[in-house]
This record gives sequence, structure tokens and C-alpha cells, in this order.
Amino acid sequence: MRRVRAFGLRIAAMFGAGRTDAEIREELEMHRSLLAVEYERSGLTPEAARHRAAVELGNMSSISDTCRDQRGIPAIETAIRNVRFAGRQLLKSPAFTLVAIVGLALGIGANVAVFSVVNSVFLQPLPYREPDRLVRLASTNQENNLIRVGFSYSRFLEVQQRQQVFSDLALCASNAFTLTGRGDPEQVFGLRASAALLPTLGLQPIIGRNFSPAEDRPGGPRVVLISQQMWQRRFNRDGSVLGQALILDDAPYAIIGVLPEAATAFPLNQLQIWVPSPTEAAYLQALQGGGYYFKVIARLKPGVSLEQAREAMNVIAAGYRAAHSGNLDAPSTIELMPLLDDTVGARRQSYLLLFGAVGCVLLIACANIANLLLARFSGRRRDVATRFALGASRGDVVCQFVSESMLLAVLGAVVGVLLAEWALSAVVALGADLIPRVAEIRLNATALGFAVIATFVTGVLIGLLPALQVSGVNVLDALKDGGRGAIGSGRRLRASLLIFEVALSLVLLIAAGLLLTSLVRLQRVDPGFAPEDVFTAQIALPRHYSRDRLIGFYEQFYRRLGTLPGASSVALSDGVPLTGAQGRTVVAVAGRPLSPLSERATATRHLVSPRFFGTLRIPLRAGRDFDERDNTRVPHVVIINETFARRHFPGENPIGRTLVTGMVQLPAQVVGVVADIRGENLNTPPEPEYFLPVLQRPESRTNVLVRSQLPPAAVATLVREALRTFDPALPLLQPDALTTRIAQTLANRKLALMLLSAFAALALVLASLGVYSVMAHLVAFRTNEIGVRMALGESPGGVMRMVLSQACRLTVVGIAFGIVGALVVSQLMQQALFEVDPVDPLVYVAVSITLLLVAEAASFFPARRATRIDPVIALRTE
Amino acid sequence: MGSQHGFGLARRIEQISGHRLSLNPGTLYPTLLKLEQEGYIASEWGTSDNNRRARFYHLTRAGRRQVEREERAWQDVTDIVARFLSPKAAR
Repeated sequence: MRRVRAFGLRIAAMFGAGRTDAEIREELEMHRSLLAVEYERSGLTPEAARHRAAVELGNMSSISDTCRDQRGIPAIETAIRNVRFAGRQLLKSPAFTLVAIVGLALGIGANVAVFSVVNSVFLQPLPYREPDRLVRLASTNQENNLIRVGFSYSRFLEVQQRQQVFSDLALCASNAFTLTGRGDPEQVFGLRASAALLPTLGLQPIIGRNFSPAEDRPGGPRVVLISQQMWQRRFNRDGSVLGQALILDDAPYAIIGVLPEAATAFPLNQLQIWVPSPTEAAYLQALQGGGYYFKVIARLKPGVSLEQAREAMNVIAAGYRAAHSGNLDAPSTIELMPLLDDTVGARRQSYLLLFGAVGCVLLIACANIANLLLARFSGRRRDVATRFALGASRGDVVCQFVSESMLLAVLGAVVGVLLAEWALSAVVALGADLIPRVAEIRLNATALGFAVIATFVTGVLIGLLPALQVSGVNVLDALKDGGRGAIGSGRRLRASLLIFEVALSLVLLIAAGLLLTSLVRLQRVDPGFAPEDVFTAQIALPRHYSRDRLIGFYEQFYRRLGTLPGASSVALSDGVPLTGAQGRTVVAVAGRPLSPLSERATATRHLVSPRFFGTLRIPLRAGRDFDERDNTRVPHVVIINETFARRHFPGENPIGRTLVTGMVQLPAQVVGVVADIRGENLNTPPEPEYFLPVLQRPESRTNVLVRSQLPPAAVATLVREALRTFDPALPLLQPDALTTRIAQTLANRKLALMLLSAFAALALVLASLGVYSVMAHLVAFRTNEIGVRMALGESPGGVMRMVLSQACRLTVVGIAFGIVGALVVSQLMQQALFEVDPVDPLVYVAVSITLLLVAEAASFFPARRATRIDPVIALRTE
Repeated sequence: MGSQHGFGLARRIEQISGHRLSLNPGTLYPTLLKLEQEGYIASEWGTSDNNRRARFYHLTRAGRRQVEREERAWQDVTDIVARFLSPKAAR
């Protein structure tokens, strides 16, 4: 207790409480005079008595120093003094201070922002109860290249009946709905979730209730849970929303509750609604045969490890394989992934790359500012020598310099955190559809802790080396001649800092160069079709349409589209190439032994109208296109792509053969072969694909493709009119140019490239500033030498060559180190590259030459100054 | 013993110790500060014999208790040490 009280008083004393210096002094003064009185009484003269007293008391300032140390806390008082001094020093040169603070603010701010993203997305647990016990169950079949795909219903039932490792088990599937009855028809994305999903995640509706067991059954009452966002936007957070109806796919669904925010960020995107009964009748066809349709989420029982659960799943998978050997998913294994890994794992690498890049930018900024500080500190050599002479230790001097750099770092960090806050709101706005868990991104306490550590490390990094350099001073030399020695000192340190900067920025530039080359090559890939001048939009037909009405729609609407003004070619198709994932299904050739579904080959299936190939300019290689006569009244037909023909009919003519298509195993005769296109991704080679006439297999979702010179908005109006004559309640979804839709799929890659290029550009600017300041100092240091050279007849050109070649030498050394670094880094980013060798010589050489030219340009100004040195003046200052 | 200023304290210590113990001001004043921070003594400004302003120190209640504690502790220590130094008496 006493210690605490004493400590409190000592802290209070630092703020002026307790005894003042004058009081201490007065007390000692008193002591001395009493001593003198005593000596006088013993017979000394007043003079001698005062002298004896002074001698006995000793060094009065040293005593009052000791008292002061006892009064406050010496270390902190020194620190405060140092910071005050540093503040005065910084105020003396506002230009330098401003530049340094801006540089550090950019560096620290960018780091804090990227760290916040990495922290919120990858490190923070998911916003569910005990999120580390949540796992996703997936199917993997290495042979068919199906990695971590969905789960079949029959296998889900098997797991549900036999498992003993999970406390909760839930089933869901994403689904798009057409929302009508409230303004324009609109497409909303939702989840068909079993009633168990909310409890599995440990969530509860904000208002209302979860699905009841009766509702969570095919044919049960139609109910819906809406997102907080929808509640806000459409119902103004009104509590009376419960019981109101939403018209989804033309059927009324009663709103029974509002989901918490965490539920609608699941799995990745903003979902608007949850609907129960994932096994609704519309899927029933898919439920047979073991298609990979569902997403399964489970919660591990307390005390059960992931390993134990995996073993249990292996046993169940083996049992399923034996019991349902005909099912599509029988050969695949059950994979368990922690939910966080499953949600964000795939992105981890590219974010770590960004984090590394932004760290490099900060290091380069640090090297630059260290360089500037070295120049500043060198200018104070004489002060340093004086302080040494007065008894300061090297530690005292270094502490004082580091206080200055630390103050800079703290000021930079304050501005930087504000910048980061602003940058994060921009990232959240820009990355809404690109970054998982984007809604959770914020500058939290962890990020601030990171900022504090980064600031501290920065402060030490930029101050320590220059301080050590300058404090390693020879007292006598510095006092004798403050001029020359000051500039010359730390030449080696300056050169090393320069090499370091150049090397780091080269690594960044090469990384950005490789990504840029990847993107360029990717955009140059020939997709096999011509997306220019093609308009696309989606139409979702109501579920309650009978099959006849569906057929009627396709036949009439397609005919109506044929008369669209300004259109050279029109088609319908269930999917649009390069705009999303495509469905694969099983297929077999009739006349050959039919293997069970689980062993059958797979291919991508499309439903297209006549002239689909013509509209996209996909060449027909053999046979014929579909036409209006390929309808439900004639035997079914199919068109395959070249890869399909090569794989299943090597050396044979596929035309006229019959395929057994899909899980429903409908036969269809091959009537044509078309060229391959890249339908799913630009960076994956074509897969076997087959096309069925949409007029023979009508489904409720289709896309309109129109080749037209008119602007997309004009085509949209025309198509909307055509649609209205058929059914005014039908919405036209996502109307846009095909090229725009395709560009959106590259947005993620572009975002990463944009950020990395920004960091690399910043690094290049910083590095060229570094080259400039180092060369300026070197020229100043060599003023005398250059003067002598010029006096001896060296031409200005020669002087310039000399300076430029020195800059060149340093830069080349930096580039050499940088190339070594880039070789390592580029191996790590291989996954993000497309058709670019991580050691692509073109990128390396081009980037190195660019950097060298920039460095030479930056050293041009110091070099020109060198040529203007007047030999007479230069030598006189000697 | 009532209030006393620093010089007086130094002199008293010298006197009581029979001039075998003399306290350096460089030790005395920081120690007084420390004791005051710990609340064992208190001080205020007053007037000395020769009519000068001086700071007078006196023990607080906590200080007196601490003196008693220290006395007892010292008594214990000397007792124990005495037993070791004259073992026969202890047996």
C-alpha cells in the first residue's frame, strides 16, 4: 500500500505536485548556513566558516539532482524532456517534418488498412457461437476432379442417421427467387435452409421465430425469414412486418422473422431471404441418384476433435459406398473443413501477398526517412560532441535522437490511422461483391494494437541507425571541424539504405509486372466466341407454370424475339458463357455397356435455342444447328463440342449416335459438333460439353442473347416489351452487354492488381526520392574532390558521367538483390499467375531497366549540380 | 521528540550515536523525501532558531507504528544473533 501511495506521489510530482526545485534548493541552502553558524561558533572567521560549510556539504546540485530523482520518476522525466526537445527540433524545420509525417502516414496507414482487412477476414472468428466447432461437410472425388463439392440428400440422410460426432447438422442450398408485387419485379438471392441451420450456427432471429418442423417439410406452409437489410430497406424496421406476405416466384410466403446480420453474410454474399425445406418438390428429381446439390453445416460435439469426426465420416462414407453403389456420389469421400477455412481459405494467399507488398512500402518509406534523419542528425554533430564533453553517455544521445524519430512515427501513425479508417470504408464499398465477410471489416482493437507495434518498430527503425552512426563520433574531430566530417559520415549507411530501397521496390514492381502480364494474357485468351455487341438478360419463369405453358412460352417468345427490330440474331440459353459456374452432369453413349451413375463420365450440359451458336459466332464443325422443328413433338437431339467428340468418339463420326443424358437418362441423338469455347473460366481449358434444345427441355430459368448494334438499354426496352406481351409479371433480370458481364468476372483479379500496382508505384516514387537524396549528399560530400578534378581539367560531361555511374553502380547492386528476392516471392505467387513463368525473363529485364532509368533520372539533378561546382569556391572552403 | 529540520536531524543522529554515525546531506534529504512519500513522516515550513524559514519534519501515526515494528524486529534479530554468539546461555 505504502509503495503504491509513494508511486502515485512520484507520478503526481512529474506534473508539478509536491516539492519544487526551489524548495529543495532552499532547504539545502538552510543546511549550509546552519553548518556555517556552527563553524563560526567554534571560532572560525565568518569567511572560513562559510567555506568549510560549503566543502562539507559538497556538490549542492548533485544533491538536489538526487532529490529530484527521488521526487519523480527519472526515466519518464528524461523521456518527456527528450520528446519536448524533439518537438522543438521538428518545429524548426516544418518542411522536413511534413514530408516525413506524410510518408510515414501513407506507409503506416496502408499497413493498418491491409492488416485490418486480413484480420477481419482471416483471423477473426466467424460471428457465430463457438465458431471453431463449426465445419462444412463436402464431397471430394479426386478422379473426377470434384474437389469439395456439395452433398447429396441421400448421403445427408445416411450421415444424419449414423453419426455420433456432431451435436447439430443442417442442410441448405442457395436459390434465387423472383420477388413481385412490390414495385418492379426483382431477383433476390436466398437460401433454402433446414430449420436446424440457425441453431447450428448458434443464432436467433432478431424478431419473430425460426422455422417450425411442419414448415421445414416439402409441401409445408410457405414461410420466409428476411434479412435485416431487407427489413430496413423495404419495411423501415417496422415490427408489424411479421405475418405480411412476400410474393416469391408468384407464391405468397408469410414473413415469420428477421435474420441477424451474421446469418445473411452466410456463406459469403449478402443473402436477402431464407426459406425452409431445402428438399422442396422442385428439387425432388435431383434428390434421387446422389447429385451434389446441398451444402451441409455441422457443429462438432464438445470433446470431439476434427480428426475423430473425419474418421467417423470415413466409416460412414464406406457404408454409403456399399449401400448406394449406383449413386453419383458413391465413390467420393466425405471431407470436413473448419467453416472459417472453407469460407475464406482460397483467398488467403492473395491477401498475404498484398500484406507483404504493403509491408515493403513501409520499409522503403522507413529507409527514406532514415536517410533524411541521418542528414539532420549529422548537422547536429557539434551539439552531440558538446553533450559528450559535458558528460552525456552514448545512450543518452541515441535516446534523444530516437525520441525525435519516435515522435515522427507517432505523428505519422495518428494521421495514418485516420487514412486507414477512410481507406477501409472505400474498400468495403468497392469490395462488396469481391471480398468475403466484407461487412465485418473494421478497424478494431487488434488493428489498433498492430498500429501501435508498427509505429514503435518504425520509430526505432528510422532513428536507431542514424543515431548510432552520428553518436559514434570522435569528440575532438567534431568540435574542431563541424563542416566536412559531418557530410562525409554515414556514406556507407546511406549507400546500404539506397540498395535496400531499390531491392525492395524491384521485388514489388516484378510482382506487379507478373500479375499485369497475367491479366493481359488472360484478356487476350480467345474464348472461342464473340461477346462484342451481344446483349444478355435473365428471365425467371414462375414455378407454377405448367409444362405446356412453359413450352408455349419458349415457342412463342422465341418466335416473337425473332422479329426484334435492330437485332441480327437472337437466342435463348440456360446459361451465359464466362459469367458464372456451370452445371456438370453424367452422360453415356447408347450402344455401349451402361455403367452405374457413380462411374459414368461427366460433361457440362446446356439448354439452348436455335441460332445460339450463330448469335455467339461459335463455328459449327459438323452436322447442323437446332431449328424450330426440334421441339417436344419429335425425338430429342443433342449437339456436342469438339472436346466431347474427341473424348467419347475418337476416330469415329459422332453424328447419328445416341447419348444417354443426365441423371434422368433421356436419350438424344447427336446432330452436330461445334467448336470448343471457354465457358466457365478464361484460364481453364475447355471441358466436354453438350447442348440440348431448350424447346425440348423447357426449364424455368433462361437467358436472352441478342446480337445487335443498339445500346444495351435500348435492347432491354425492346425485350421487355416482347416479354410483357406474354406475361406482364415477368421481370427481366441483369440486363447488360455481355462484355460488361464478362469484365465483372475479372473484377477480383483487377482489384488485386490495382492495389498491388498502387503499392509498387508508391515504392518506385519513394525509391527514386531515395536515390535523389543519397546522390545529392554524395555530391555535396565530394564537392572538394570534384573541384580539384575540374581545376585539373575534367570536363563537366566527365563529372556528370562520374556521378551518374556511381548512382548506376549502387542501383545495379540493389537490382541484383531485388532479383534474388523476386525469384523467391514469385514462386509464392504462382497460383495467382496465368500462363506467365514466375521467372519470366521479359518481366524481370523490363522492370529492372525501368528501375535503372528512373534511378538515373533521379540522380540527374545532383549530377547537374556537380557540373556547376566552381573549382575556386570549392577549394577555398577546404 | 517534536518537529525537527533536516540539519537538526543530522546533528541529533550524530549526537545520539556519540559521533560515530554521521549522515551525509546527499543521503539525508532524498531519504526524507522518500519517507514522506511513503507517509511515515510529514513536513511543513516553519521558522528556525535563527529566524529563518526551514522545513520541519515530524513522525506521523503510521511512522510511529513503523518505528515500533522495526524496534520489535530489531529486538528479534539481536535475540537470535545473541543465541548464536553465546550458545551456552541458550542451552
